[in-house]
Amino acid sequence: MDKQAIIDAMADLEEDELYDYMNEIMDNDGEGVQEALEACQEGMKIVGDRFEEGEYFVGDLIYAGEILTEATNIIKPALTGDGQEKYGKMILCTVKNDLHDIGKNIVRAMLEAGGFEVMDLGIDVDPQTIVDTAKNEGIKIIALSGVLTLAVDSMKDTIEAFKAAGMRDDVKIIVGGAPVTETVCASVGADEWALSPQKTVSVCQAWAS
Amino acid sequence: MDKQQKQAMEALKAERIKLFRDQAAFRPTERVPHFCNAVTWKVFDAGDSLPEALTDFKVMEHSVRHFLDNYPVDGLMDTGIRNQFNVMEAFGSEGYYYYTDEAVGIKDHALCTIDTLMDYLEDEERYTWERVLPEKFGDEWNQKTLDQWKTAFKEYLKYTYFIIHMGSVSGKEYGVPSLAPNNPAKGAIQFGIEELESNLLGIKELSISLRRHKALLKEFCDKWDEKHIDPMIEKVYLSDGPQDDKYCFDASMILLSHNILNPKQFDMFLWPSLKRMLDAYAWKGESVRIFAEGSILRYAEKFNRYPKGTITFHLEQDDPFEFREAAPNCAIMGGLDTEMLANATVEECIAHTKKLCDELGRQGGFILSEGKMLSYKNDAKADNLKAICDFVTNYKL
Repeated sequence: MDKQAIIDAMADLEEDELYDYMNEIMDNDGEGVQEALEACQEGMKIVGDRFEEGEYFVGDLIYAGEILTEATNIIKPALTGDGQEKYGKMILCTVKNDLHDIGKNIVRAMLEAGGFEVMDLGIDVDPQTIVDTAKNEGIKIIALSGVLTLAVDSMKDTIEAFKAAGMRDDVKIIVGGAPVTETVCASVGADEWALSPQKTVSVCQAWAS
Repeated sequence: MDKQQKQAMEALKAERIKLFRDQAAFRPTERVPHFCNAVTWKVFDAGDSLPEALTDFKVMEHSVRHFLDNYPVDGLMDTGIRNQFNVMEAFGSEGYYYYTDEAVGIKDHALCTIDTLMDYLEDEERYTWERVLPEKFGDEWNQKTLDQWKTAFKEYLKYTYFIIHMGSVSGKEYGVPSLAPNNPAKGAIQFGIEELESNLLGIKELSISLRRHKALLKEFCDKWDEKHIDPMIEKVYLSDGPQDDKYCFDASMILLSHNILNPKQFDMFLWPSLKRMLDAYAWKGESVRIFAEGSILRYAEKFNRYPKGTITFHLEQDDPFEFREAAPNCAIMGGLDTEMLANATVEECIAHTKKLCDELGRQGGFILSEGKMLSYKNDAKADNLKAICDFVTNYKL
């Protein structure tokens, strides 16, 4: 198993090459599977860096998420589960009254590559569902996504629901998406905000550390 | 309206068109004009019901008139003609769209797969009839009765009349001009890559296909150009030139795909077609308004090669000051975001508007507008929008 080759294949978005490496690992009874997974995650980190630098853009992140998922699926039977999600569980969703999922899905792929087990609650998720899930699963990090300006109201409602449940101080909440700015972050009462998946990952990792 | 009032409105409309044209061409004007991007927000502000306004032309007309009576805007992006569902309601097609008291949405889906793209291009009407519409409207598509068809056509005619009527109301009764000809290049300007993203494949499938099926997509875009864009470009070259007295701009187009394309993909799939179209407008001395959804700042320099007066960028999310730095030859529409309109004080709104006028409009090249459409009731405080409208109408540069 050539770890650097896997990193490069992931970073360069060489889909066929990446799958070939994954299949090779499975042909060798899963030998080096953990390193291969780490290599994919490192490659995904480079994808994020290239996005920040302007070489890649949103379409590339969507594609990267797709091939990372497929690559992980190939080697999944050989993975023991140990050490895959070193930062633990977190919640991600698009808030109530907003049906957009592309940005959310990109962030999910990056968060998973960044070491989180992401509970993706989907789109148009009402505040109480998010609160209940956090409570039942003992989750401390919540990422709320939205594209419509209407989503800002729902983000605020969600954070209010955490307050009403007496849980606001127990969780960290990051908001993201097109209508979100520093001012919006402050007005809805979130702890952080992000427009890029990279920032979302680094903020959540800092919270989880 | 008596004859004198009609003449006054005609004069006001002409004055506003000149204001827009002058600012777009970087000619200093007495004041900055405001082309308002209020859409369904008008309905809430008028105290009307959104579901009713979307299905009853009289209610929508009331909302639009209420807006024009209360907010002295120089232009209005939507005169109540977006998202009218009468035709589909009459057709008995549910499930394609939804609306509540607060919002309206379309349950959008891709019309093609990567495997059927070329079939679509070969015969768009046939493909649409046989493949797209059944998928879009569900199993009952082939079971429509003659009466349903008749009712739907009647509603379509009513809708067409409403569009004309509202254009007349805003122009003749309020002196508010139209943005651009409906068919600036004798047809809607839609580049191949835009069509792929907006309608045929959707964002996800297109993003994946840009990597997996690059050659096929390039072939599609080239053929799309031959079929749709080349004839438009030819007509632009053969046209009579600027229509100074009728519209604020000679053409209007919307760009979306730059939000997913990386620089290499932008150069391969969008820029060649877009450049040829803009070259034609520039050669004719015509002015084009481009609504750039999301952010187009990173490609701004490409557009700066055109002479002042050719391109006005309507910026949805980009900072207008940053954009001016990046593309000083492009006029800017924008400056007002929903965050400020919804949350700031009247004084803050006026201070921001004054800064925009002073720094971007004094030498020409700036038209005040809302970047994002005002859609939901909390997208703006009425007092803020009113104060901005009053300020920009009276503020002399």
